[in-house]
Amino acid sequence: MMLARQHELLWRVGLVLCFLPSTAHAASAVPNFIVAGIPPAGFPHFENPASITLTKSGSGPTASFLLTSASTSSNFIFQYNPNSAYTVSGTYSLSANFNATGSFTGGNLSIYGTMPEYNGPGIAPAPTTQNLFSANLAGFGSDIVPDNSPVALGFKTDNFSGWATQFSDGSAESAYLYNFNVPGLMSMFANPKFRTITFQGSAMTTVPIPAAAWLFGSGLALLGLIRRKPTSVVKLLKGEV
Amino acid sequence: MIKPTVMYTLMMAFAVCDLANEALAASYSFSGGYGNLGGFTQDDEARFFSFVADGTSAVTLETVSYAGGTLVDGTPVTAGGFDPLLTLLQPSGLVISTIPLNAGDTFSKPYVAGTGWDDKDPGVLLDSYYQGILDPGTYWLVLTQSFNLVNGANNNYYSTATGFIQQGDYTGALNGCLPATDPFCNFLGENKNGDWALNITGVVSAQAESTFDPPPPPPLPVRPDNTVAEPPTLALLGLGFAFMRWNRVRLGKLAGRV
Repeated sequence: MMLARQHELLWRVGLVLCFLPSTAHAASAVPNFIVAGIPPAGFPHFENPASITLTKSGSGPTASFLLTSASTSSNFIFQYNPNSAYTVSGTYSLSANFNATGSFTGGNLSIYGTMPEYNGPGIAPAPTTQNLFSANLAGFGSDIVPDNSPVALGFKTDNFSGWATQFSDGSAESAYLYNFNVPGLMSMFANPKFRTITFQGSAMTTVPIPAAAWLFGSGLALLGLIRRKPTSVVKLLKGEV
Repeated sequence: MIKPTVMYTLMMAFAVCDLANEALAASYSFSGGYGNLGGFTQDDEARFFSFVADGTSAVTLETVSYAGGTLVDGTPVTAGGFDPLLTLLQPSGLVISTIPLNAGDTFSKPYVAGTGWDDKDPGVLLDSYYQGILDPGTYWLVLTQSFNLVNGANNNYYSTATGFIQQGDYTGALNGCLPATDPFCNFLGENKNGDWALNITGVVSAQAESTFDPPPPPPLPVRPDNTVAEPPTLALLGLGFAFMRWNRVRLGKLAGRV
């Protein structure tokens, strides 16, 4: 009797969860970024319109370059999976350093803001402004050849922190800047008369898989346990234990 | 052993081919300003050209308006024009590259001392220059001022909607001319003018275009496994509940049998 009530309760909770609305519900696809040494993009990810600026300081062998990117809208999205997206109100910023020869020397990215409507599994909403996702930029690569992969600047990310990494397994992820004249920007590193340039493009920041995979895995394990020991459950039903 | 008549025929054929190739590779020049219409009036303007490459001739694309020079029709060009930038595009709107096209290409025609070019820094010539063999086909060429690049939204495709990265007179403030609203200020902080001159040689044909309006760009290439990148959460949840329901029924039946 007791177990039947628990089942009923679970059903009701499940139905409520199933019908909780997302703030957006548009099918989404991940660009097929292929940049050597950089993990591919995937779900979940933050996606935002972005300005991309490259600035040169100094000259000759002591010159250095700073690449910065910032969201051009205070509202962007957290795409949990191809069909579930949530509005983020906040800021996105990326900063990457390069030496005189254009070699990457380090950087970081951060996404701050709120995401009060989030209702995906495992993680609580973020109703107040907070660190949604921050990471170290551990590697850089570029794809300037227009083929079956988009032209893009890619960064390998690690050392995560923030709301989106509560269930992180610590593996490297990626951040991509795309939808702009990537070859044009890359040519600036070798141009002696270059100073600064700004493009308008897009940014996609893939975050470590949060709750869903863990919930799915633990659910499977639980079901497996139930299936292995039906007699003990039956005993429970009959009130013999 | 090839018969003399056959040899003669082959030689004639090669000669005709050679003549045809020479006839195909032509030279064109374009200019704006110099007391006439067509010069730039503000920094963010652009001029469009199309040309056809035959795939075998060395194509030369060069401006001669910054440092002065000669158009291929023999017209002398005085120095003093703005710092030019040439960008090569496919007819689809895809940006191939700004010049220089390839690593190792020079940014401008190699400087020759004593030519009288008006360039205060011979190490950094500002005219745009490319010479090389392009795949056969039609190309578009855009002349802008440095560094007014094609923005390249939509995976680096040009469109009239997204256009270029600069707006208005941007060079004065950027390069330190006074007043800051002055157009045609080069990176050395020198005031130039809106005149421009361009040579396109080694091509089948070339012409100036009033605008460039390519077709809509193709969609961004997406991951082929996009739909299975991660199982949709709600589907998983539904599957879980369905399994629980089935398990409950199964257990109920089992309990009935015990």
